Amino acid sequence: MVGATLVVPTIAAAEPDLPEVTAAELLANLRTEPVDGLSGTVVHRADLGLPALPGLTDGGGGGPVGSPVDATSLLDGEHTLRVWAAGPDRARVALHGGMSELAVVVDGDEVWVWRSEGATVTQVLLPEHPTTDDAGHRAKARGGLPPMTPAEYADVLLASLDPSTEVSVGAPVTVAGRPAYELVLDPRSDGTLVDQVRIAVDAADRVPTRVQVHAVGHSAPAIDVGFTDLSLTRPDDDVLTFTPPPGATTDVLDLTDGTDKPATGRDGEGSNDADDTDADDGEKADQVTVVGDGWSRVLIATLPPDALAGLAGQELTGEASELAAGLEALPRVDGPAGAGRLLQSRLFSVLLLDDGRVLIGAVDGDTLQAAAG
Amino acid sequence: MSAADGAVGMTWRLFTSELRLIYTRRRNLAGAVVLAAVPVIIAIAIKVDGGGGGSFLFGQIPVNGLFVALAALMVQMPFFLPTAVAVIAGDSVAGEANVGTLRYLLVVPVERTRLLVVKFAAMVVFAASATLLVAGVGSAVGVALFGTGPLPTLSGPALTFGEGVGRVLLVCAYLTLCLVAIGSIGLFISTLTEQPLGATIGLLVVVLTSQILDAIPQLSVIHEYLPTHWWLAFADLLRDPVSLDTVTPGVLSALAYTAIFTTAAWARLTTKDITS
Repeated sequence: MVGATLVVPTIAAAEPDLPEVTAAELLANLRTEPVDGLSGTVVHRADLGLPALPGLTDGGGGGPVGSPVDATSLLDGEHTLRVWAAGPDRARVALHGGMSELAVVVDGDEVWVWRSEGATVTQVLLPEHPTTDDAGHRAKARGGLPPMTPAEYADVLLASLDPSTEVSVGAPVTVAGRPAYELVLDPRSDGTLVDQVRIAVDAADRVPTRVQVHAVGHSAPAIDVGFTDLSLTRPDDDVLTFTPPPGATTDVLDLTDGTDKPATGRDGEGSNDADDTDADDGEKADQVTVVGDGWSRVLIATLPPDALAGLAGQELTGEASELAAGLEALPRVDGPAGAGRLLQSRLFSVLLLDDGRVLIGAVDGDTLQAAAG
Repeated sequence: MSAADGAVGMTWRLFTSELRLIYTRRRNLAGAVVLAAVPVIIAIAIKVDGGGGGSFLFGQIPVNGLFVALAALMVQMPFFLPTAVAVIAGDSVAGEANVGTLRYLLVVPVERTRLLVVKFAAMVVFAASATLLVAGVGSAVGVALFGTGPLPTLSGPALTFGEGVGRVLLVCAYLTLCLVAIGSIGLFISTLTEQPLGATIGLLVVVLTSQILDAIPQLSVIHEYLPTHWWLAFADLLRDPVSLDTVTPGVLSALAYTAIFTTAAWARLTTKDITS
């Protein structure tokens, strides 16, 4: 019995022999949405070098004794996701935690986000003909969740492809036992913390099977999201539908008329969560400015003056108090643009200035200060 | 009657008398009351308090009474259930030696291997009955207080009540296997000593140490080899569809521990000098 678990074949995966393709061909044939269907297991590893923040990082692990998961758990450590998809608009992604689960079910023009912790459901109603296809809009359509699967990561990364990126094809690799091409994105500017992005594209089915984001100065990828097990067969229909269980708190986020007004179904305590703040971001999009271009661009947003003060003043519960504690734990910095708090990771930095401005970019803290000044 | 029939008959008689001893001892009955009390306390507390909230298993109790059984199993798995098994396993061989009956049993004559098989089988039956006791009392109290609705899974969509009962039984089977692995370690320790209490405490020390090591993130390399590491993997049995990602290694780990320590117990018992 022990033998069965220990004697895993460890044959060094020889480089698969594949016909040559150009980066342009690879990009043109890349399908971020599988057509026929697939099911598999994705391992999501993040090593962003984030400071230990209460409520933000849970120390990773993700084993049976791990704490409950949410999308922020993905920021640190290794997590396993189960993925099912059929056709371009039906999919389910489940993030398994110790005694919890976060699931996103995309079923036609409905998206369901299920959090077992607190048993909350967010139903997102999509417009019939989505007009925008920018990554931010898609993230919002998925209930404000960040990308989790290789396809979603590739979607976000390729959406921002422009002349500032050198695209090439690397040596063939093997992902989930399947030969794959590797698309290499190299930022031309050296102001960014991103050293290189490698996207493995399945040789047979042209779906992204692995995405690795390398940070400058670190040999191990900062983000490594890839299938460890992949079957290109159509999953059961049951898996791709979602019926809220009895007793769950359901919020409805209606995007059908083009506005982001959240229409609330059965209002419960679960409504005051990340989804709402995300919807707010959209409404205040005119307050977001971009400085710089390409990989080293910096997003500057202005929070309402009472946003952070409000966090400090009122009695907080759950996520909000954890967020406030997390902010308190960030180091204070003082620069040309004013004083504030800086979150520095291997891939990106966030600068929260005391005047309410928030700066985010795949650059270091000094660049953010310069952009703010 | 052939010799083989006689041997089988004798083994069966030994087995039934072993079970009779286990289930009539007053200390074991007191233990059973403690095990059964926990789900009752949980159910009444949630009923009086009104809301669940917090973790999934507790939060869902008002939705479906079966969650009382699952919550009680989760709460008792770290200590109460292993303690019950430790008492039985520790007592198995050392108990006989302690009161001086081991040598008489072997004079009867009962082969040492057969004696160990009987002790092991009785421990398995006990582990299953302890888990089923908690789940049974939990389900009964839960259904009485909260009714028999559909059973929400960790993945969201609900199962019918019947399917839910099936899942609870699957969880019981998995946890029984985990307890049998622990009990096998206890059986081995029990062959090392003539003090049943020593064997019981020894096993509890193993169980608690394993859980402490499992909680230290810096030791994550060894976590998957710890006997207690996969216990909460029963969560995977409450997903829809059932996931085997952590249940499979959990089952393999439990089987490996069982195989290793029953073999060690056999090697020890068949070679040791029985003086009491």
